[in-house]
Amino acid sequence: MPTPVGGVDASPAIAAEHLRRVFTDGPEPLEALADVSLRVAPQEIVAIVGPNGSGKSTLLRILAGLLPPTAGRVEVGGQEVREPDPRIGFVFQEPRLLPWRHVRDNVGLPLELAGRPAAERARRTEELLELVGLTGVPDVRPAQLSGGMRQRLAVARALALSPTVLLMDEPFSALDALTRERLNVEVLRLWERTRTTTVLVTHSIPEAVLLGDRVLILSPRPAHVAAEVRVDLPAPRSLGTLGSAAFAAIAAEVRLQLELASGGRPDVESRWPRGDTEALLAGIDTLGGPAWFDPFRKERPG
Amino acid sequence: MGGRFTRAVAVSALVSVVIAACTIEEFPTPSPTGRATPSPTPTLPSASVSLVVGLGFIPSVQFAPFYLAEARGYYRDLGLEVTLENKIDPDLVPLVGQGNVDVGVADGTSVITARSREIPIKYLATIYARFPSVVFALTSSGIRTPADLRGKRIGIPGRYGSSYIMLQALLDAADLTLDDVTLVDFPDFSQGDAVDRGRVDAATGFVNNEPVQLQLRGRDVTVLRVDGITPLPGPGLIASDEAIATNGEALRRFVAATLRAMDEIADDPAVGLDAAIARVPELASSRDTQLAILEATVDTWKSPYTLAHGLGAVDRAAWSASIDFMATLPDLVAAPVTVDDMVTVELLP
Amino acid sequence: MTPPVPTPARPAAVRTRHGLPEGRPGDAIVTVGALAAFLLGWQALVALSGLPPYILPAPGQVGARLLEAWADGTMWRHAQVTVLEIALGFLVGGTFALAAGYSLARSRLVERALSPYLVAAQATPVLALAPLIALWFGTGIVAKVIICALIVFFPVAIVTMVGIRSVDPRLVEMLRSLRATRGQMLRVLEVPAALPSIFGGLRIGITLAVIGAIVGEWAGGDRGLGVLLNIARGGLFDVPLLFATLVTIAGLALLLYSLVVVAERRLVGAR
Repeated sequence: MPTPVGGVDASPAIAAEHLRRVFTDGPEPLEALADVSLRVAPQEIVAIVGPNGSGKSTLLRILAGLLPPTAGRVEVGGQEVREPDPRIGFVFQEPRLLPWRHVRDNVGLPLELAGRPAAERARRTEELLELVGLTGVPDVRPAQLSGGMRQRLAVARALALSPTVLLMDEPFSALDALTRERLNVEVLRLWERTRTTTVLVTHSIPEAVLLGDRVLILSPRPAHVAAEVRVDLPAPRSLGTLGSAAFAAIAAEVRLQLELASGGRPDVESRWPRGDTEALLAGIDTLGGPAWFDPFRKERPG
Repeated sequence: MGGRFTRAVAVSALVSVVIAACTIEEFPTPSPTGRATPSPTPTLPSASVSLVVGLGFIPSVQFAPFYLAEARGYYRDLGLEVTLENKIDPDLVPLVGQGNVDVGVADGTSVITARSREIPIKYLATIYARFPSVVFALTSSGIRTPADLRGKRIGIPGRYGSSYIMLQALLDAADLTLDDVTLVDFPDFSQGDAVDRGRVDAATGFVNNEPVQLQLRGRDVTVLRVDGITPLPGPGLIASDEAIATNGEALRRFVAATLRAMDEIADDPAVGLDAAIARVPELASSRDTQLAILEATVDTWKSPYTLAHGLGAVDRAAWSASIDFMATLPDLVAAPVTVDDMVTVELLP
Repeated sequence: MTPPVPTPARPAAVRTRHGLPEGRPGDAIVTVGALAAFLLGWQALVALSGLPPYILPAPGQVGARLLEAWADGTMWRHAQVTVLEIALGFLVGGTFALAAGYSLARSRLVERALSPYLVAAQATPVLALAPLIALWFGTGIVAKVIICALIVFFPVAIVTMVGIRSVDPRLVEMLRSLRATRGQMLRVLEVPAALPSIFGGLRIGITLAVIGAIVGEWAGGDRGLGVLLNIARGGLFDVPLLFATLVTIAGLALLLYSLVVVAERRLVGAR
């Protein structure tokens, strides 16, 4: 059974104070985050939306310890985070599976790196596959699976070390709409079993509202948290929730806040992001790369 | 040098000059004396005959006869336009057989093997009457006879060729085989230095090369020669069967002119040296060494047989004995061959 | 009870558009056919050119001489030495090249410092270096192994460098998020990611190693296929043996190359 997450008490699972991030490796300094503070309670799911280029991915990476903030501080479970942490699981926008490894060796990778013995790895891997609904999946290389299955494996891998916090960076934006909806439901079901604190960055408003307990709206660069919308929808949620009036109202509120935060310009992407690789790649994914630049293949039909 | 030799040289020289004179219509001269069967003198074609001559080695004072003959116009006077090629060519023998090269300088032992492989060449004239490939050692090594080579380290340039055959002949004379010695390879031909420094006890080399160099450095050198043991045929002039058939007259003249130059150099090596230096100016910087090499070279032209029959003469009996010996070595005589298959004396003066 | 499913009629054998059967049988036919065409062409050349056997022997003569040389042990006596030189040279050169390629990939300083010398060394023909190496290291197997190693080094080092550099930075970030150590990064990501590129270089390297061994043997030695070439040509005037040795060398190169391909299939596989 998945490890129960921390106690349901007042201390936040994630606390970020006055995060600021400036990128200096371009021709001129780029201030992605000006002043971002947020708290996430244990077992909460928080969705972060914002216009393109607003530094959502940068924020998530700082929370994960993959990027140091220029100023400010991140704490997970009361302890400061300055580098990647086993208590934090990260799901990237692409599955980022090792293409030469088979399914189970990919999912078990974190356990292997942590030096767990083979028997434990095998057992835990089967648990994880069951969690993401892939019990009995053939042990093939990722190239032979659909995009949706690959992303599920990525989620399974992120949960391998039973993290207290799960961070997801637009995990389903590379998938088609139908698969995306299916996986959204999977995330809900997953959370009902593991109750892992989750922060989800997305540019899909329906996804944010369906999954999140709260939706944070970021302003364009230099970013701060412009607004917060509580999502008071009854649990357990499902695809049927998408059609409810309450859902529509909350989604409309989020959309409004988003437009206000963007100063009436919801799509702020006017400048090619400079600086480090993630920003560049994020830019490519947003604007769309050339047809051949698709190393992590999007879902094939069927 | 004995009186016999001087007389033979004088006669050869005279005969060569006279024959040359007879065969050039512009210079009518009295008929020759001395030679038993004077060859007929056909009409000289109006255009000169060009011959490509593969000398088989880089420019060296040992080719002085060719340089001299060319410089003094002996070839030209006989209506020959000669191109001397001075380069190391491992394919010289097949090229002569194919006719790509008209005349070559090649070792008699390779002629035996080549003919047994049906390469259609014949040996026309002897240049080195005594086998030039020898085993040499510092006298201080105590090596004086082939039997002394047992258990010794011997430097060789490669596992084939005239020196390899000569070495086996020497060992055979003492009932030894290659297994009784330790061979050390010197593919860069530095075995002379190796002997000098004691890295090997003895080595194979050319009698007009390494031993001379060592002696000039003040070393006492012992040389083991194979002539008295197995009369292996040394380097001489070769041509293809077809060239002999269709171009025989030109080849005859070439042989004559070359032998003439050899006689003159044998008389006075200095003229050979000068001709070589004129052709290869770099040799001038080591004149004394080059003279010593040339004198050692001239020494090998003179065997009892050529002293008796003139420079260039071919000892058929020695050839027969050599064929028999080489047949005992693996793979060298691929099919039975006789002296007549590979030697012709028709083109000798 | 479900009704029985009618078994479909056996499909006709698939044929490519050239009318050959698909797959292995088709490949075999093409290979054999090409070989037969080559041999016929060779025979025709001999017949038409009128070249004597000591210049261009006919395929039949070469084949007979080849069988003879294997039967009496001559060929194997020389071939085993050459194979040993190639194997050791490939191993030594390849190992150094992998290490060098990795440091070139990881350190701009190393690359800037070493690149000019590497390129200059590669441009110097091995044929020119071989006598020098024989001078310094003697004419035994050591000199040949060194020559092979030198000739293999550059291409393998370069493909290793390129392969390591081409590792997807997104995978690097993913492993960073899993707190992979430098050694783990190397073992889990960099090496497997670079392997396809490295094997491309190894394929080239093994054929170059064959060349290196033969060239090294030309510079001196008492055994080896290169030595046998010299002996056949210069000492024995045995041109059929010369050709038979060339055939053996080609066969050896093919065999070693396919070993590398087999290793590649096992280690890299289909991705």
